[in-house]
Amino acid sequence: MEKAIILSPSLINQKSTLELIKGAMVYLGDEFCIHKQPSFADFTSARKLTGATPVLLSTLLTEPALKSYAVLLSECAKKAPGTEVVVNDIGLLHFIDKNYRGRFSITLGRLITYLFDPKNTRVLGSKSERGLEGKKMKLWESSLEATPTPYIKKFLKRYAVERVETDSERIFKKYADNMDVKISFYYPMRLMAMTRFCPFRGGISLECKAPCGSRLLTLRTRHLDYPLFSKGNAYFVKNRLVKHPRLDRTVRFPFVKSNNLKMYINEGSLRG
Amino acid sequence: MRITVGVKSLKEADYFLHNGADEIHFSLKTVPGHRAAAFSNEKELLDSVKLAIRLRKKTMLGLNAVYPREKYPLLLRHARKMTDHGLDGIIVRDPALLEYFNTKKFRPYFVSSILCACFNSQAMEFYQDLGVRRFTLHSQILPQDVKMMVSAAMKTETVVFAPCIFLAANLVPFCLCPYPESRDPGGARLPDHACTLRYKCGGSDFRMLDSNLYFQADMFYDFYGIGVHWLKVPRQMNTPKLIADFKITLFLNQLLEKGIDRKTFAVAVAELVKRADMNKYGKSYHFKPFPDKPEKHA
Repeated sequence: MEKAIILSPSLINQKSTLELIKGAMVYLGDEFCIHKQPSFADFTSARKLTGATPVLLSTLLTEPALKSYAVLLSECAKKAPGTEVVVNDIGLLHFIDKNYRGRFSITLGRLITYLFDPKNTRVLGSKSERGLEGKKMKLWESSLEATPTPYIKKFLKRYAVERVETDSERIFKKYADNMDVKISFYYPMRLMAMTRFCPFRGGISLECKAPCGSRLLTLRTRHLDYPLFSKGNAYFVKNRLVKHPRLDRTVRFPFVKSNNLKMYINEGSLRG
Repeated sequence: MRITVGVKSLKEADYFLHNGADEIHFSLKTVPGHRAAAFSNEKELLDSVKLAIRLRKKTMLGLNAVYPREKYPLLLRHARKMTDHGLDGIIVRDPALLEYFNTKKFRPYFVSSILCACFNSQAMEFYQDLGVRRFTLHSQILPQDVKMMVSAAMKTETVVFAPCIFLAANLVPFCLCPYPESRDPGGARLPDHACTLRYKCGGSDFRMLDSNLYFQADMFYDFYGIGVHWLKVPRQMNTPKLIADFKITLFLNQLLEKGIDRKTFAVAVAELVKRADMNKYGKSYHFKPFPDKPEKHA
């Protein structure tokens, strides 16, 4: 089974990065922040560092971010054809299909698989999970809204998708049971929310040098019986690795637990 | 900018259409959209369309949930009946449903929901190929980026939620937190949206970050400046709050149309929203009926 690690471009030139990677496949970029998308120079540095071609990991791209990504793709199409791209934006998928069909290996990232299955279930560690493993939970899960599977099958073929990714056991099993496509699983964190209002920068930034780094903040509230985690521009809960014969790649991200954050509070905003 | 308001009864439709709304949007409870607030019977819905036609205003049907395949024929029948009665367009979120409508040669004026997550011109093109002609954009896309994406796409209409009224701290549809008071067996029963709760991070307080009123006012001002076509006031269970949201939106839009300067507009937004004290109306997801006498000013 392949092991992959998500690496923000800002980490490539740090001394301890090789140790951090430990021979894993490198996912270069970020799923949640436009400021952590790689340039072709980052791509070359990562390839030089590990001796292997990194996988490009993308996020939802604003128009200027898409323009920058187009430059990266243009370089890669010429100098590293066949590079795998994890696509999390339907516009990027459309762009690659129009301009570079067959020149990249396409993977649907977890944001797009959530676009088709927009409900999360069973938070690990929550007491509400106990006692609800039986019929009631299964019945509820099977009734959750989801894009019809025949459409997804056609979509994967239409866009020449070779792999799909998720952090949800339920979604994983759905693809494993119904589709002949490679499947990756993200752990030990499962997505709960993403934002462009960055807690480390105090809002939407036009430029950023990623002060969030690898910091992982633990957030607690009396209303949830499990912690939330804040990393970069996203919030997570704990996740456990799915056990399934179709699992052929795991993806994790490096993090350093941080105790505190002097955060920006936007006084005067409406709540509720 | 023109204003589209979400309604759930003929009474609401009548009120908003006579008080400055240019369009109403809605769903029927038996064919639900993304929001719980919906008409309970089809006759009222058709009467609302009739009323809008009489007043020369527009109507949009929200089919903006993700539906199972077996529901598609029902959705098509419902949508066709509505357009046959003069409905102007349909708000859709799932490309699978758009494709189905296309294969059935049903191509009314499609509007993409905010849940389509269109952040760039290429995403717009993806949906345009399926027949979408109006795009609901996320309030976390900066106006200068909206301008770039819209100018790079084919001619299209755009919609934004009034930034100081509808605040989304996280990006839909990628907020997977439990919904307030959810009865889902796997979810916590939260008293409010997870993005509004108070958290502790170590010894410090932590709130999921959003924007402040001055930032929101600037966005509002710039959306007007770059030529966004529509302001959206989303439907909700709480009618008095919906009326207040609408009145604030209408008033601020009128200020913009009169040519107010940026600084004065920011002050007006901050003062108005603070003075209106929106908390007094309660939560948008709690049912509150149409008030006997709507307040003159929010």
